[in-house]
Amino acid sequence: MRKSWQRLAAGTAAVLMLSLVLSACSGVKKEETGAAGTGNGKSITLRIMWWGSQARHDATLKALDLYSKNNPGITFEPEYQSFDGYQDKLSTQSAGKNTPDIFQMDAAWFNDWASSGRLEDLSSIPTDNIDKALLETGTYQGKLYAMPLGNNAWGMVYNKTIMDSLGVQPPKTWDEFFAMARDLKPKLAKDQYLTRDLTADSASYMTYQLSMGKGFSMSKDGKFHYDEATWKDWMNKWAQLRKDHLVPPPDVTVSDKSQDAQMDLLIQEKILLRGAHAAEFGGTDALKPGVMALTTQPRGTQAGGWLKASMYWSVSPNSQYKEEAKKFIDWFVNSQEAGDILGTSRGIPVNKTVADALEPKFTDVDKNALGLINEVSKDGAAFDPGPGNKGGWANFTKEYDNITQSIMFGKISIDDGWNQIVKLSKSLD
Amino acid sequence: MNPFRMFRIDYVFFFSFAAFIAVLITIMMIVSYRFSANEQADSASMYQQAVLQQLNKQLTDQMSAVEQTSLAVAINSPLVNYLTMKGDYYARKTARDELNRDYLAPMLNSSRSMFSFQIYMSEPLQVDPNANIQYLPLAYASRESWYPAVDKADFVWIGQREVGSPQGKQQVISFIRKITTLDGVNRGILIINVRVKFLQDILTEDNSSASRLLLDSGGRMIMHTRIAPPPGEIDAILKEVSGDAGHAHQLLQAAGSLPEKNMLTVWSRTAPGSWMLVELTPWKDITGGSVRLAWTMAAIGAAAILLSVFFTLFLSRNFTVPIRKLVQLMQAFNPGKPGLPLPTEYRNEFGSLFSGYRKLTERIETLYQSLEQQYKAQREAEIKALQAMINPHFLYNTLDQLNWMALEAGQEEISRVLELMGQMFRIGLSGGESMIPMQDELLHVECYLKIQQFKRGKGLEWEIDCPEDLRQLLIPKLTLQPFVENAIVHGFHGRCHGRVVLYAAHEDRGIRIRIRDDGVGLRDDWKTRRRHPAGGYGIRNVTERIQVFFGPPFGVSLRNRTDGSGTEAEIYLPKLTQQLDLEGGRSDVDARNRG
Repeated sequence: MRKSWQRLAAGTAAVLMLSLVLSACSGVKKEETGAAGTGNGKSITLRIMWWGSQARHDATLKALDLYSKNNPGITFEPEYQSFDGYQDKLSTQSAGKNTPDIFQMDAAWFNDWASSGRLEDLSSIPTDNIDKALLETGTYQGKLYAMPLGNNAWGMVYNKTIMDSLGVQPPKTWDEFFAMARDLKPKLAKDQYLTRDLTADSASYMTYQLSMGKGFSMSKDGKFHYDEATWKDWMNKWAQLRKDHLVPPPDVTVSDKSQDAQMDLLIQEKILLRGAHAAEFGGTDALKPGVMALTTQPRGTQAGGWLKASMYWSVSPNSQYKEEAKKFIDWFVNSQEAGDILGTSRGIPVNKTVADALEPKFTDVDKNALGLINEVSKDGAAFDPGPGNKGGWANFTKEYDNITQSIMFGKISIDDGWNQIVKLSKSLD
Repeated sequence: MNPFRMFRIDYVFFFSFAAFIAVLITIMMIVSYRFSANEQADSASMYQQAVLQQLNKQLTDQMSAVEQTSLAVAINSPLVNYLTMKGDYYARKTARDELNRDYLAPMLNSSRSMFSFQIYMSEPLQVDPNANIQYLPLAYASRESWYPAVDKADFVWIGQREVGSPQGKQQVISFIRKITTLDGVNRGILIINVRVKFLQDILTEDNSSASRLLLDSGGRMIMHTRIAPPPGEIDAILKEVSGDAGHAHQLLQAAGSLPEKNMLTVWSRTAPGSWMLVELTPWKDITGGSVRLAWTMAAIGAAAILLSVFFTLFLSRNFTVPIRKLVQLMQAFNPGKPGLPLPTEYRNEFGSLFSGYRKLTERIETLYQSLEQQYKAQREAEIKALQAMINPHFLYNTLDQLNWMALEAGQEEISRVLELMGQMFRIGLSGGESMIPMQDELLHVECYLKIQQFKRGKGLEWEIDCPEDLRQLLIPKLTLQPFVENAIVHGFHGRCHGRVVLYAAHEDRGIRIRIRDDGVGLRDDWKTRRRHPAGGYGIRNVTERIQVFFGPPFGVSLRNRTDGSGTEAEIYLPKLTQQLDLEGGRSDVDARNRG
């Protein structure tokens, strides 16, 4: 009798202990989940900003999603837009110490940014398989400040479907180019032209001057290299075309918004060709699939195009998460899974291994871009990033656009324009 | 039906204890849940109100910044110039580009809250619905749903909508202000779009899982985080709202998109007529702690019940063990056989119970034994009585035979004696009746006297005087003969003649019979010398019988005669006309007679 009572008591005690232990366990569990919920400081949001076409936006967003999935706790706050206004926005953010953690950088502004300490040193990212020549373009005083993302070339995009139906090939030389603008017009619709008015297009003029053997119109060392004869020749040719209504009226020309479904004159088939980078071609093709093709810039005495890195990733030195940002860039350029998603959205990938693995999967679009790069690399110039914004060049660029637009709208004569430009160049350091 | 009388004590004990604890725990559960749920709702709503107040302030700050910016933009002269500019395309384009480049774009680029501008004007140069800074024809504005609101007011906030941007369609909240020149002419409409996500981030920066709504002064939803209740439910929520801050427990209508209907709503606004932040928290999230508390109580209760189960089992066992033992003992009790040993270790009520039971059984045992003895004695008496009944018959028959033998032998005198003796026996038997008529009793006495006369000759004289009406009354049989015998034995002691007189007379309710002799009288020590071999016994027998049958005042008395020598016996009897019911008494009397 006594024994059995003892056993019962022991059993009861055991049950009570068990229930206590269980409740204690559940309590612990709750704390753990609570700790996981707050993330323990591991929840990181990286701000990232780039410019590009919708195709590039889509590919990049997809890559960001994959990265977030593979790296729990890291999310992105993407900001993206077209190239127009991108530099302004980035500069304003930089002035407010509010640049995104990661942002796309262009060769043209790289020196400005690197020299003014607005970029983080990225030398710790492995670059074994990356083209040394391209890496060099993102290096300032021996340190890598901008990770190149792709091979790019400056050439032309043209409406192959219409050109083929008209039985013509894109112009190989500037002579052919201007002749074609005149000859083709009768075969085109009333508001359809070979090209828009390039009077106010500084990049096209630079290509023209380069192809005429006069070099870049402004150079990395901050020198003014505009050649008066070449420039006036260029302006006069366009004035003549404008006068003869062989290019769109100025208000149509200024309304052109590249890679916008409604406002891109090329997409609207108002014009048949335009200067373009190889890396942009995916975005253009997406707006009008299978219609466009790439070719080189017209030649003068020599080739007019150039090779350059498509763009770069840079990291803000003000970022709270520099290491995470660098880790992301490493993944972005060196991992095959990123390469598979991104394709050639930023040109031919700079990582040779990734590019080689990608090559069998190349679409017609990719092959087009690769073709242009190969063609340009034969005798094209290396890109000169120019003087950047320092030494009054920012104002020069702005004023130059105003002057050339004034010429285009017929407000001032070409000679007046040239005089104003020369006068402007005097204020440069 | 009282369970305390119906079922086994230990079961009743056990179940009532368990039920009591269960009820107690349940009540505690309910009470603690009620109290703590209300406590938690109160404290949660206090906390939420503080948070909402804070958020409200942040939002208000952001929004008033937007409002101020819009005013600055609307009175900016390059903008007004551009809006009022007519004619030359290039001039207008340049004005616009400079406006964008030098004023509007930097403003957007430097602001985290402002996302895009939309400017409605009479003749925009170019309409780009996907730009950061959009110039749109005024004609478009009148098609917008917000137009009537702006038409009546100079500025207004409008709720969540979609606008085109360089990043595609984006959800924004917009501040709309009319651009009016100093001369009072309306030149256009300025819209500043704030990205919803930016405001949502403010509203969710404390990582709250609750759903928050921003309502304008008219109760229209500007934006929301997580879940958006349909307008009907917002109206229902607003009905509960009173004051600038408060909370309510609400059951929303089923129509909504909310998975949870039972909500704690907390609201806060900076001033009446200002925007209001409402926070909806599922009630079950609030009361989660209370539910856990209640379950903990339930767990403790279950443990307590379990424990009390063992405890009550232990208690009831120990209380019922002696009772069951007693029951067992009582069932096993068999008088006359040695019983099971009674527990002796109890000193309490059970001890009393056991000792009481022991006394009871002892008394039963004693009674049983005496009853058994009595029964034995009764059996013996019955046998004796039967034997006694056989003896007289046998004697009587033998006497009859002797009588014949005496007649044959010519012994007339012996024959006569035997005849008298037979007569006496017959009366003595009297069919077993204990009461006989006086007449028979007197005849019995006369027979005895006649027999004595044979022995004593003419020396014996007697006289019997009895009224006729007394002769039919019943008296106990063989009542008189011992006195007569006594009178002869004592009265003739040492003499050769004597006289016996017997009178019977009415007296009150009874009969008084006197028997006198003229002998030597009673000796002085007659009362102490009772044990005379013959006579004393007979008289005592009669005396006792009369006592048993009738009791006082009836009885016998003996004394010396006062009017001369001799003894007088006086017998006082009731007048009986029928047999007494002597069921109880007779055996007693018989037993005395024989014992």
